[in-house]
This record gives sequence, structure tokens and C-alpha cells, in this order.
Amino acid sequence: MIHKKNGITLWEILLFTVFLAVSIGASVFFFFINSTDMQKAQQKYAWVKNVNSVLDDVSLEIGNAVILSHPFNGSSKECFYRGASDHSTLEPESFEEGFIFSDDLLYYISKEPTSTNVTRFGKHRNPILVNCKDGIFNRKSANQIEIYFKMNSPNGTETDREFRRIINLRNK
Amino acid sequence: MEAGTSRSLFEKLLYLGIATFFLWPFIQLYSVKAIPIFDSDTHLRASVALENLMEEALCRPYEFSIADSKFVPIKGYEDLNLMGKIDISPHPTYDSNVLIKAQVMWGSFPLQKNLSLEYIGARTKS
Repeated sequence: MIHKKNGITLWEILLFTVFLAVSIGASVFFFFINSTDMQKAQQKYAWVKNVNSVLDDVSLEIGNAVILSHPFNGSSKECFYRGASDHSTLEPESFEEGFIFSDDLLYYISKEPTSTNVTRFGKHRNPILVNCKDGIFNRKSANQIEIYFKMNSPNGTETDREFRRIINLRNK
Repeated sequence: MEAGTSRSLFEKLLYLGIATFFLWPFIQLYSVKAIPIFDSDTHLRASVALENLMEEALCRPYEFSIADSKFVPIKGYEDLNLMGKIDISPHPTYDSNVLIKAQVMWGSFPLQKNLSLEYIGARTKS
């Protein structure tokens, strides 16, 4: 049976509507991807990721420390330890490393008998974190220490975001 | 099929089955967080919570075997409704080791997500 086609048929209108809807949806989506809201969200994500990567390195360093001398109990703005070195040997007792919350900054320092050095911490330059408030190291038990501080995001999208890390001191 | 008659139940079920067959992999992709464009902040927070849970598990003395423990809400993550659990079991092949598994879970079925972390510890205690 052969139908004569006259004008636009119903299924063609339907198909056209579907394509139109898809193209409108796609353009709305691309506008959304380009929007300042999305860019701010991406900046915030990059910032949080960066802070967390610094915290990862700090946690690894403290977790693998040979001896954590300060805080022995309670909480403190400072944390000192004797670091683990290569070849399972101990560093000299007079050499200590540490992290310090000072003036809303987190520093890595190394102490020698004659001097206190503010050197690089791995790939991070000192101060390793800026603009962190209420920073504290909290010794919860003999083999557990907690780092806690608050931060505001650089682009002002989030205030007082809490960062908390629990560290198992593996050499206790 | 003649015009005017509606589909039978069997045909409807068939269509549902075909649709599920096509869509299910995408739901699985979502739940294993292979598409992290949305809720990326939630993912970051959940992964940090998972690390903290694992460190806490490593801190406590090994209890004999806590397999199949229940998910409990994690303090500080009430807004996400984040639940976490720790399983400690003997290692299946090495007698001198224990397998410590931490898991966090959030969301509700079928848009549920979970992350897990495993650690092998020496069985010096217990």
C-alpha cells in the first residue's frame, strides 16, 4: 500500500520537537558549565584539594615519625617529632622537626642545637598553609593525634570550613 | 498490532527490562563515583572521613574479628548523612595478618555511593 505524502506529518513534528529540545538542553548545559558559579565551584574544589594534599603529606610525616615528643598530652599549637630517615636509622637526638600554627599560618621547621630553620617541607614551600584559624594539634591517646583548623576559601565562597585529620602514630 | 489497542503487560515489562538493561551501567558508574563532576565536594569530604575512619581503626588494639559490622553515622557529617563501618577479619591467605576494611556510604538506593579502603596489619596483638 502506498500513501501519498502531503505536508508535514505528525511523526516529523515529533522528531523536530525532540531535536529542538535536545539542542536547547545542550546549550543551557554549556551555558551552565561556563557560568561564574561553576567556575567558583571549580576554584573551591581546587583549593580544598590543595589543602588536603598538604594535610596528606603532614599526616604521613607525623604518622611515620619515630618519636612524637610534643604534644605529649592535651593540645598545642605546636607539634615536634623525630622524623623517620632512610635505611631505618635514627636521626641524632638533637635534631627535631615540627609543625607550628602561628599567626594563622602553618609552618614546617627543623630544629638543630644551634639554630631553628624554616626550610621547605617536601614539595611545599613555607608557610605550607596560609589563613588557617584556630589551628591545633590534639593528642587524643598515646598513639593518636588530631590536626584541626578552620579556613576561609580564597574567593569567599565558603567561610570557616573545618579540616580535621586523625593520625595513627605507627611507631608507638 | 491494530491501532487503538494498548500494549499488554508482558510487552510493558519487556520495555522496562530493555530500558533497565541500557540504563543500569550508568547507575553503576554513578555509584562507583566514576562521574565526579557533580557533588565533587561531597566526594572530597567523604574520602577524608574514610581516611580518618581508617586511622582510627588502626589506632585501636585489634579486636578478634569484627566482620559484618553495622553502618553507623559519622560525627560531623550529619548534613551528608554519611555512614561508616570498620571490618577487621583474619587475612584469607596469610595467618599472621589481619585485613582492616573501612567503608563510608551516603545517599539512598539506587543513587547510593560508597568508598572503601583496605589495610593489611600484622597480628601482633589479640
